[in-house]
Amino acid sequence: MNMATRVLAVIAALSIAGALSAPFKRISDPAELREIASAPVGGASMLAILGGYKSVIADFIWIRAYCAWEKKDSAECSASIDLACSLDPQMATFWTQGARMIAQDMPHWFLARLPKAERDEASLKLFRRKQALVAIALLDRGLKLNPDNLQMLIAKGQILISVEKFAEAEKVFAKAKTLSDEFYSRRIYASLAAKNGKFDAALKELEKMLSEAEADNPVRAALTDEIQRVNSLKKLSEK
Amino acid sequence: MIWLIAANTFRETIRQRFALLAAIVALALTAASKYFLRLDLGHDQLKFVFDFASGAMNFFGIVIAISASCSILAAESENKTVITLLSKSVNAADFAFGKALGVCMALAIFALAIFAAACASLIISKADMPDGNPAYVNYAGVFAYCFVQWLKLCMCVAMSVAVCSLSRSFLFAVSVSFLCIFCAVLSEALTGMGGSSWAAKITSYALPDFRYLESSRIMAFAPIDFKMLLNMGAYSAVYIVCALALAAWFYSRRDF
Amino acid sequence: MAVPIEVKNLTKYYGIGKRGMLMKALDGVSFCLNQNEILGLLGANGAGKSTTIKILVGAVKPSIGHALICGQKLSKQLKRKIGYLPESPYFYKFLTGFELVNFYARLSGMKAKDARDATEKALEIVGLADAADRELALYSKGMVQRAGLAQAIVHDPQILILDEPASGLDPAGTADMADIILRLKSRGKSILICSHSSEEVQRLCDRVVILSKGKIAACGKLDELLKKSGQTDMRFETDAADDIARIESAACAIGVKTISKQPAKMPLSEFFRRLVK
Repeated sequence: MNMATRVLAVIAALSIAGALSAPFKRISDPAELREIASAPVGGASMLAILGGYKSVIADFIWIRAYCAWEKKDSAECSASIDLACSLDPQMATFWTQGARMIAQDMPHWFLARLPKAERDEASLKLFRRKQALVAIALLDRGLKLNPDNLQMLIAKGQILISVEKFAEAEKVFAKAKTLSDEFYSRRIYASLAAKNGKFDAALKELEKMLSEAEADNPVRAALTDEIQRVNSLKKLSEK
Repeated sequence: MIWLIAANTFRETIRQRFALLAAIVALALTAASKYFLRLDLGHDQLKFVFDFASGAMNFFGIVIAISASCSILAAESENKTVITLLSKSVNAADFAFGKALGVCMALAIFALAIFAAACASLIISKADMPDGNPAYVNYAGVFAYCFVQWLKLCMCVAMSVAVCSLSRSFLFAVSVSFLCIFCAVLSEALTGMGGSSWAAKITSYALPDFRYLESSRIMAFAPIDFKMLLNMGAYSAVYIVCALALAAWFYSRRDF
Repeated sequence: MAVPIEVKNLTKYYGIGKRGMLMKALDGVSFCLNQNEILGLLGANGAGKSTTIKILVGAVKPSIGHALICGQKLSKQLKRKIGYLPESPYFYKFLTGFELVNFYARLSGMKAKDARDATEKALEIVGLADAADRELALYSKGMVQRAGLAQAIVHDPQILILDEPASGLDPAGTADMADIILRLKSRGKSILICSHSSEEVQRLCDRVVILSKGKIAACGKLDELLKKSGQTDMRFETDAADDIARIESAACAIGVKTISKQPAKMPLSEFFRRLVK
């Protein structure tokens, strides 16, 4: 039997199998399959072959990321964060803490590598902006796989605030507040809305929170102050 | 005849040292999963423990399936025991199906052992959790998960038998079998690389795709979806039968 | 009635890796094994003996020609009429002698109880009844050879194909094997023996087929093939030393030359047998 016959036989068998199995092709766990589909090829193969061991291995990789963080090795740290997130995309901790390391710690490492004369506020601001973009890209990847994860949304919003992208931060916190009744995201959303000139929306949210807060809740005082501040800002803007 | 060959192959498979060692390591890791919780950095505890069973079935199961199938069939060819078999009232189809069935039976024992170890670990972990913890484990779902993964391993065995029917050396058979498994695992990525070309479309249509059998957490922590289970069973059965039929056809035309 | 084995114009090509190159292992081989006959298949290494045997048992397909068993093409049912002993048999080492022969008996289509009884009988015939419960890993080469013969005869086949039956056996074992083969023939079996050993073939076979480079070099009854035309061998037996001189002078008187004269010697194999037994 020559090679051509063998190849044709294999193709024929696969085609028949593909045709017969077509009615039974159903994806059972879209979340799990999203993570396999969107990981790099090497990561996807590891995810699929390792099955459950990926969680433990991801933990070990994360510990390696911490070791690199201690040594201030940005390349190793970034690579380990990336790999840990790929191996276990459902661990919100990896995405959020990893993003914070990238956005908040690494700019200082880069600054420290510059000659003393060049270490100024402008350089730090530049590094922060650059690293914020990297961190947000990481969180966006995580949010694609876990679109309703509150921790990730809050982390993204905080990073956006740190680089003064208030409009985008407002959108992020707007989504975050729909996922949970807790006050933190709603309060931040309200202050961002006020900062962006949407006083009515800010007041609406603050008043709603005030009506929901218990009588002895210490946050009532802060909410009352905030409502007053937004009202005065609104009056100023109308003038 | 198939049953006789299968029974003999089963006895041969459970005596394979490498397969036995892999199975023992898998079982030990599954049984000890509770102690690995100390390494846990925030996963759901029961899911973390269950993940060890999932890893054992996937990783070690695939290694055992391929190594056992290839070494048994390679030994038959090298030692010429296949000629003695074929001189009896046995044809190529009996040989291929019988060998595959024997390895699958051994893998069924492996799957059952992993299931038992997983259940034991889950029960112990759940008992250690604080009272009032609403964590839910569906043990029938864990069994269903192990069953589906066993079907996946049977697909691996069938693919290995088909590869062995074409190859003349153990190393070639093992390498190509693992390559086939990678193709099944990365089916979507491979077809994605081809874009929307006709080759990519045919590849996605014909290649087996293990994605359709990935169902770990759903089964173990929620009620079983029997329709989904049936779909998975039918999907794997189609590929198993086609791969073994191909193997039987190649063996019938091969000179030993 | 059809002959047990009929081989007609058997030709086999093997591809040898290089593009398009074929090696001819058999070239138009034709012979037949008659009922209740022992046929020897002789030839040097690479002559085509193994290829012929493999075609007969269905392990290899001929390129041209055919091999018929009892007048029909080989099928799953027809294989029950054949018992095959491979050259240098290798079996599953984890099985005991009994389990191995029983396994092959069941594969030959026998029911479980019949197979068990037949296995005990076959092991007794080949002299392995005492070692039946031992694993094959603990068998000597000779014992493995006997186990191989047992699995070939367990289902009482009409036709036996034995590839180097005495391979690995000591002279005593070889003689026992020869006895078994002759007994099988006396029970009406038709036997094809493939061998390197001309002694073995000469002792057992009614006819021989000699292969050389894939072709039949000679075929026929041993007596006819080995006869030296125009010559006769004579052997004398006597106790008296004087008789030797008188026979020599009588031969000389009628013009017959004495070619050789030496003390009678027994073959080493017979000496070994007597010593070991």
